[in-house]
Amino acid sequence: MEKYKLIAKIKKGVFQGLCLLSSQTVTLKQLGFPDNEGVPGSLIKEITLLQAMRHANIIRLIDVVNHQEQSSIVLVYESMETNLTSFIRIYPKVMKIPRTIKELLRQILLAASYYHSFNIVHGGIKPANTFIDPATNTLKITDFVWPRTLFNSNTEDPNEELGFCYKAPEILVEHKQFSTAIDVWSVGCIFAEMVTQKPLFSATSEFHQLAKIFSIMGTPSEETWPGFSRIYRYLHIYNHCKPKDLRKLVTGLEPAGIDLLHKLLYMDPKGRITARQALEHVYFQN
Amino acid sequence: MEFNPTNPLLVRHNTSNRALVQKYFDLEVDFMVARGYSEDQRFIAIRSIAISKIEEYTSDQVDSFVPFLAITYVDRFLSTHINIPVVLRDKGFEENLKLFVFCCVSIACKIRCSNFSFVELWNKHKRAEVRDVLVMELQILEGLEWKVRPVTAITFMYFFLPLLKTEDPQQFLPISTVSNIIVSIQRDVRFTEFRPSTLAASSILVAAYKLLPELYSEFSRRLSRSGFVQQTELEQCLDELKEHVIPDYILNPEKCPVILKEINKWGVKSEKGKELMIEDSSPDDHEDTSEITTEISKEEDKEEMPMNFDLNWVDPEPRPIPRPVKQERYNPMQKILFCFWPMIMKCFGLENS
Repeated sequence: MEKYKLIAKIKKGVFQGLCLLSSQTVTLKQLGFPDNEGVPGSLIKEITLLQAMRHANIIRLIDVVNHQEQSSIVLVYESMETNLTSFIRIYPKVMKIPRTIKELLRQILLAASYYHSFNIVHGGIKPANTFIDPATNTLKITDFVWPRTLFNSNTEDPNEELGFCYKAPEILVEHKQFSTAIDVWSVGCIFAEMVTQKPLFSATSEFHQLAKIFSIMGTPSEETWPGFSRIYRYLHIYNHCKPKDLRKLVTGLEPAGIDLLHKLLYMDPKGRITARQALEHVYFQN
Repeated sequence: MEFNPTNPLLVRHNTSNRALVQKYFDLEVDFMVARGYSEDQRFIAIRSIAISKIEEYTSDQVDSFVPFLAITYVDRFLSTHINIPVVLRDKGFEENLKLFVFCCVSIACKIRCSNFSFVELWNKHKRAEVRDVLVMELQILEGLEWKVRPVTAITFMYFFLPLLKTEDPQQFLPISTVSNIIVSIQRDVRFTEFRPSTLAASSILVAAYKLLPELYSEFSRRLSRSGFVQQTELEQCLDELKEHVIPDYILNPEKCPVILKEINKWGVKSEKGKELMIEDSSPDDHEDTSEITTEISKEEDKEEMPMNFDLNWVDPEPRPIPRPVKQERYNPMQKILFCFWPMIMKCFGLENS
């Protein structure tokens, strides 16, 4: 740890620091371990994954430092101070500019497309772990909850990690097989939020979240999501809702953007657009 | 998606994205031992003990990838750090070495198996307190710069084999055969000097020579044309394979009953006391290899063959993402409530939205 100097505490276990060798500002994340399994396998995998990824829109893991007196490690990331939630709050006027939204969405999709090409699911894209450099409008994604939450049932509840608002319906109904499409749904939610500056599906529980999604996107039927009634046995408790007009809910978004949003928020994950396909959408062509 | 250790970058096995694949091949030098390791006499005894201990700790493993991976960690750590970490300060070198090896195995297990139970391994081979294990693991991971992804010959094998597909579905190289060769030659420290991709390509060509000799030249050409093979190194490695290792570890049925079953199905025959070169096998010796099954037999002379790992190779297949085992989200009362929910809502004249 002698290479780094702590500057300020950001939150519990997370600090802003300075690399004394490069004078680069960094984010230091201290991780302790449960005392029953050595270094958790999920963490080893996560670190090796982060080391492998090199992309302009993914926060880079610079270093891993042992902190052996406390049997912990410190992950050293490149520093990004402003997440999307704060960015929307601090720069509401900037976020009203369609070009800004388009550029930020493009960067999220570039990151998603990159790690999806490795068959990696982020599993927790949300504004709180999407960082922006206000000087350059460069967006970077961090905090891959994969594989921690997908592999280790003993760690924190993934629901907490994900936040309800950005969870795909197939996760909410505990569909056994889900894929990179869950990230695409989260990107769709963020897209809508960037336009309206508030979450599209805001809820207080998973039950309510699903009801909220159904109320806006329509309750799934055999036509819109074949086999859904078999996947989710509590479907009957929800009222049958017709899909609402997204143009009225996400006001100010151009028609091509509405079309893309529809495709990102397609209920049936099999029919949902991929990140790569989304990047080729006409919305990005003007 | 599940992290597939036999495919560290998780790219699909094709070469359609050449830049991506090239990056992956460029990585391998970071996962090799330091130069001169194979000739350094200091490590021979330690390596030998480590291999036998790894065999002990992994005797009940489903496949041989865990010990294979653990040995790569031992080699890489020793080649750069010379001394193993001393975590058990009140114990001698031997106990610390055992803990070091145990931790290499546990890290390999964690990388390989999503459902690995540390407690089970620890209970079975209790080497130290869990806290000491944690400290040792951290020192190993730091020493390896956390580069513990399996960038190994096995991985590269999965890249190369699809390049060798033929029109005849019967003419293919079984993954188990090639991987057996790769695992077998790992015992010989000289092969640590070669790139993992070179080892993979060499092992494939050796297998091709035995199984599909009529395609050997074609396969060799295809591998060279792929641009991912270091041709000079490949030839050196092939020479080593032909002259030294094949007779010792694969083609000698007296010494390796596990591999014998595989090799006999290839139709390779050997005589006791005579080293059998690759060239000794004629194409006529070959039998049907399309249904090679791996049977495990117990090694009798463990000291002579410390690399007698179980060779139950499991070909990676797309698997559904394991979901965390969660408790039932709704308790029985809530479930009953849900069943009658529409009726309740109707009674109270309410609707959910």
